[in-house]
Amino acid sequence: MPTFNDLYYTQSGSRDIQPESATQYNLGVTWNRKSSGVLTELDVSLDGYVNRIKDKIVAVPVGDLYFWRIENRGLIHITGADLTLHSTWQFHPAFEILFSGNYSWQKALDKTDPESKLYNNELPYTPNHSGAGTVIFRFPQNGWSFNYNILFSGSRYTSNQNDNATRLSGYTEHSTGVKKAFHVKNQFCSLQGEILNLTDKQYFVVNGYPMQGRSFRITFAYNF
Amino acid sequence: MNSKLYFLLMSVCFFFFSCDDDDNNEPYTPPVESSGFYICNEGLWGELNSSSLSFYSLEEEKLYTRYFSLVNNRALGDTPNQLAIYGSKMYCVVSTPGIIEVMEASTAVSLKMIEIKTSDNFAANLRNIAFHKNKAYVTSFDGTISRIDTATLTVDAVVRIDNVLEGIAIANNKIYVSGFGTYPEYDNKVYVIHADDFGNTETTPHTIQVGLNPGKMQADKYGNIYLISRGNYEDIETSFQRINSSTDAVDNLNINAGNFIIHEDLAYIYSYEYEGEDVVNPQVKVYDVKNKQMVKDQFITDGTTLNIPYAIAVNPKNEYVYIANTPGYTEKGDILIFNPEGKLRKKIEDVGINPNNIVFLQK
Repeated sequence: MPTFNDLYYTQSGSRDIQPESATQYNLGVTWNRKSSGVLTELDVSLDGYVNRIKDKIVAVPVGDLYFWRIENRGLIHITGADLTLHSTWQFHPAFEILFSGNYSWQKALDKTDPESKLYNNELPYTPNHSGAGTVIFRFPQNGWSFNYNILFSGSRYTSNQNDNATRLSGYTEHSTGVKKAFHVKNQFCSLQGEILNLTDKQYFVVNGYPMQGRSFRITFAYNF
Repeated sequence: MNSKLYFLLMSVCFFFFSCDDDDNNEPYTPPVESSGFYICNEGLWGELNSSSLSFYSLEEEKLYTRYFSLVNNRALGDTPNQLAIYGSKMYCVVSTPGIIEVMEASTAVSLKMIEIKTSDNFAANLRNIAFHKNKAYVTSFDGTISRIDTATLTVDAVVRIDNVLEGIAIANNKIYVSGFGTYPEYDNKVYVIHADDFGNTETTPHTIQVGLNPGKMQADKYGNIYLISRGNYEDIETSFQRINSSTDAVDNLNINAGNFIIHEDLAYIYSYEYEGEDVVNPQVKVYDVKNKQMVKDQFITDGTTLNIPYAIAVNPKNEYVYIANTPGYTEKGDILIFNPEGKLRKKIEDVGINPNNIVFLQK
């Protein structure tokens, strides 16, 4: 359904925005395994889907992030697959590794008008490949943990009529952190230090708006 | 089984590390000494780098897209509004960064970027350019007309007017500039400045009242200036008018007009109407500026239909009429080339997004 913003917001909204209607087909498989060995828990799931969307409401940023164009984009075919994985590895009572990740593949194509130049063009800002992964090394007995994350996206077009000249490159952002959990007056606390965008990768999510480079973050949490 | 699983999971992990995309741009060399035409593509407002300069070589019958970037290794800038050749140089008025890109006309190699700022140091929203006696005059939405010496390529005089300026045309040694106010209070003025008195802060420009929301202006060779007043996009329609530069009298020609180009004795005009948000009924007409009468109500004679015309130009070598046509503002436009009898002779596709100016280069 179009939101009130889609319909009425100044400049970007339009009263003519119709609700989307979609036919979805989804096929998935999940596998779960627990064991008393090193790999104490493993969850893997794989989903494939095919969506046929009519009147898809799409917002495309138009430079200024306050101004997004809202449109009903006619007929869209989206084909995709998601793979997710969670695992826990217990090498030693005092040391465990948690590893999880996900990967998505999608292709979102404009199928509105076969005569149009936009036919079979990918929707802007829809990467074919995206995903994330996390590794956490935990020492439950002394409260230390160390994590390493990555976030990645493949390249994507920025224009309705797909143009290699204005395609945004894919990127991978790496982050890492160290955390110590402890008690103050019997309450649970933690102190965490992180380095975000470890490799100082220069990238855009939206064209023209560079994401932050390497940065540092310290977090203190106190539970009560 | 366990060790195989470790290996599989580790390799999935490394897959993420290795994936990073890089675009593959095939290099090609620009043509040498070719005649043809440049197309200025406005792009989409806010969609960075969607604007470009294209060049079509008539000898090779080949379209070069992103020609400016190819030759100069950098982007042109967003919203190039006008392109014109004067002497051996080509001038592109680029609105968003507030610069006039001056290039060598035959190669599009950049000679200089003239930057114009507003009084509070922002990039001026530059609009149109006209030439007279080795000077170039550029209008801006912030109400300034900057005069540029075409030899030194520096601004040597400025006139400030309290209005939003758009079109400019020069006739009878006078500079005529249209001021259209802002939505919703559109204005209806054309300002007249004598070229010899330009920049004199003692004199105020003479004003002429024209139709509502005046935009594009062009002078013919008989001392008349034609202009389009765009109305208010609601109940007040567009009007096509003529100013006699001897008397400054305004004649309303009662022709629906969106844009036009005057070549020698003929003005080629295109128009369209709005039905809701859709553009309908695009038409091309021809008006004789020497005899002051409409000569063709329907220029296109072979049934070729247009979507949204965005620019019109006439090739001075053979009088062929070039019309830039866009199917919708987010897709790349095409150039349709008609012979003087109105029959489509050639179509050049995907020149760029919103082609707004076509400029011919003779070798």
